[in-house]
Amino acid sequence: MARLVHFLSLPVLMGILVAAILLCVPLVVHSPYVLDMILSVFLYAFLNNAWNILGGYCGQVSVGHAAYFAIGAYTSTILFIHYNISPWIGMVAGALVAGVLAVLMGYPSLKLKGPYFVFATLGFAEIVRIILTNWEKAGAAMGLLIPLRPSSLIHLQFSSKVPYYYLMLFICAGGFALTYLIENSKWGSYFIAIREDEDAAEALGINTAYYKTAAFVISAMLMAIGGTFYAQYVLYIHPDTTSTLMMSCNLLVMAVIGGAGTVLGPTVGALLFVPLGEYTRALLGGRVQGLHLMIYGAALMIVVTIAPEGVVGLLSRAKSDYRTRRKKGEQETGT
Amino acid sequence: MALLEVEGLSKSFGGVVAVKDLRFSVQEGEILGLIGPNGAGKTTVFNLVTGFLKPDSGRVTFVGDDITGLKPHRICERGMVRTFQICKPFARLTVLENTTIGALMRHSGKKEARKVAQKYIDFLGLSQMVDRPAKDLPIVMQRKVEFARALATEPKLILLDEILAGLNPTEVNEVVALIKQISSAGLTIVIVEHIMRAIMSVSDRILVLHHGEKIAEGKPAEIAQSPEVIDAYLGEKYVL
Amino acid sequence: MDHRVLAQTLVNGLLIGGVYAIVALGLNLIYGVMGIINFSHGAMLMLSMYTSYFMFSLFGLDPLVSLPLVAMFLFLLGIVIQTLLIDRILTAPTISRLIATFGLLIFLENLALLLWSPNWRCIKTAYSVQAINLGGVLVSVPRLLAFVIALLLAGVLYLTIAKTDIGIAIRATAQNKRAAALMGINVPRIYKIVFGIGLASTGIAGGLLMTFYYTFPTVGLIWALTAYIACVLGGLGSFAGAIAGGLIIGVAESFGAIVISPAFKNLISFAAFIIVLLLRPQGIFGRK
Repeated sequence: MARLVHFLSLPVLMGILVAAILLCVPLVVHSPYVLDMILSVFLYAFLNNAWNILGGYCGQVSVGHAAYFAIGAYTSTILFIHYNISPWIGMVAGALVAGVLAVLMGYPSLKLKGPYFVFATLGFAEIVRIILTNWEKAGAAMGLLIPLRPSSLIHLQFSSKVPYYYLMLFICAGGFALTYLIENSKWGSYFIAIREDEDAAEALGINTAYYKTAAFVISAMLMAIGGTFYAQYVLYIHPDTTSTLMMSCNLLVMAVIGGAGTVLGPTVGALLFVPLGEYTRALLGGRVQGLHLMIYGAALMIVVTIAPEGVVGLLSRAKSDYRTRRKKGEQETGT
Repeated sequence: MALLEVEGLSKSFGGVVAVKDLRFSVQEGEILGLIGPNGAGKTTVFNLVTGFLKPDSGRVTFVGDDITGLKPHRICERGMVRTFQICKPFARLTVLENTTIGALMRHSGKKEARKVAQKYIDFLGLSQMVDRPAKDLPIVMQRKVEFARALATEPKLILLDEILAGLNPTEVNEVVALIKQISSAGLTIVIVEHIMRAIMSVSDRILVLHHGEKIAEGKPAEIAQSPEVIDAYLGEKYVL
Repeated sequence: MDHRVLAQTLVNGLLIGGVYAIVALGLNLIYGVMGIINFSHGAMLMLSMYTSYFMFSLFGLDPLVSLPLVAMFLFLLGIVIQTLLIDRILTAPTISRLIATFGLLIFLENLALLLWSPNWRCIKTAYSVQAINLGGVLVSVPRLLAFVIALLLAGVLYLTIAKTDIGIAIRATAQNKRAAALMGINVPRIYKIVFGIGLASTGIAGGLLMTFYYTFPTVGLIWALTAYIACVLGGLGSFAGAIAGGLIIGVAESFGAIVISPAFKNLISFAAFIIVLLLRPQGIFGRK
């Protein structure tokens, strides 16, 4: 009994409450526009979490992660269109392709230090984008339309947004749970050690090359899975909506400003940016071209100069400052 | 028994010879001191022995196995661990997190690793600051964190690279006492230092390097009298 | 391949490579001294191209004539940006610096979109379409002029950094900023100057590009990407490296366009870049 009470601590209770609310949302909210936005939040939270495993926990900054998203989307779509293979199998195939490429690309490029690694990821992503833009089987500059099928789970296609909502919620929760598990395991500690000081980590028996590559592979495979779901939801993919530098950087921005290297950070980032982006675009985008993105750019510059460790970092620092002050107060008054 | 044996070890960078045909061995349970002027190659020797650098020629044998050219993490798995000249704790992590990472190598479960880590934290007197990030600690504590973290890998041999640098005399005595304690617990130690009274008092044997070559080897008393060593490094007869 | 086609491709590659080289030089200088990768560099190039365009359309100034003005404008802009943004993020973690300069890129690109619409702008001068025949190879006049001026600029930059007092101060700061400060060098001022020079160099590249290319709000991205590649290929932090990198990329792209297809020319340079990175990470002239 005491164990159960201990388990039901505040964060867990809040988590259960949030989960309950999220599960009930489609019963109350019927506007496809709002559902779509929440769905985007789930998708981006998932993708941000994927980036976060390599970039936030392991400290290897990739600005080319969209490439793996595109690889997932295109693999499952091409298999579906040309070989009539179920998107579920296509999703696994996409994840495998992404994983293999992550090993081939990742293992050698992870030996590079600092900016060199960043550029390698950028170069690879651009290569993927250029190939997709010019490959006939991938639709080249026209993109690919996912053929319509009767609404069902097997086809991973639905006529209403509600099933997509629950699917995306499930995926997002999965990504969240995976991040939590990693953080509290030996792997998480090792990732963090590598991030903080690679030489020291190596000297303590950590096979840095192995763990960095592993982080890369996990991260890439998650991105690919997200890509398949995206393709099945939007039913149209194009290199410019799946593999651009802008998209890679957006993931990075959301994860970092939300709080890199934390479980909640990527989700907070998605929560902040997706609705805000939607709102400013709806408000300003139509009338004055580019204004909402100008605000985005300006906001980034301002936020980074004020809070280099992101929102979650800021909050946790505030929390520990508060705790230290309370402890001091207790010491002084002798409580 | 010789725990660590080095034969014919050589390394050059560009045209500069850093280590030349070095040969020495470390007996199990002893404390070997490594001294020499700056640039003598002491840290290079550490790097070569622990796998951070590949030697141009020569062999390193640990517990009878040839470990030449192995990656540092493999060497750590076999029981040799090192600290760094420029203190490298995981700055943003707490003392406990730092030490736990060391313990994780031999204890995969985090709970278990934390227990082991706590043992070493207590031993080094860091219990009061388990939850403080390493970067907030004074230098002597940071060195102790690095020490605790290295010990948590439960090594047979530990290489200490100028662990006393930057410490005041009281702190030096404190750490020297800890070194003597872990030695008597059975750990073999190789220590690089510039603080003469510390290294002379703690070492069983001393090795002197100059321009990458061994110029003397023996008990501290002999070394302090040796004319070559005085010439190259000590400057005058060192009175123990 | 016919040897004339070979020569033509080579010449075309070198000519554009010269322009890549000076964009790369700007990036390289900033990285070498301040240790920061300027993700917004493409936007700087774009701004300089628009400046050159408006100098022409409003005042009738030939882009080659307005080069010093464009350079001066970008230099001043560089100082402003350094003071307002870069200075504040110099000590921040790499990710934060990346985000900050990315934010600047987005801001400037969309400012241009707002002010000047997405339409392409280009300049027609007397020599825009002229070409001279050098031993069977057709050399476009504006591109040749751009190449020559680019080389001159590289020479001027080199002499400035190698021989002048400011140049020595810059090199000292690049090597060890703390020691430089102790020697009495005003490091913050050097940073402003370096950022200014880096942008000015890019400004000149922009002006030169306007003599044979066109501009639009996102034009900078692909040029900057290529410049980054050139920098890293040649060796981040190396002057000769930036130049070598620029020329090599220019030639590689030129051959890629002919041998495979124009659409894939960037792919060749990216692929070559990745291969070089994996085989020799410090670049051709870089130090390990």
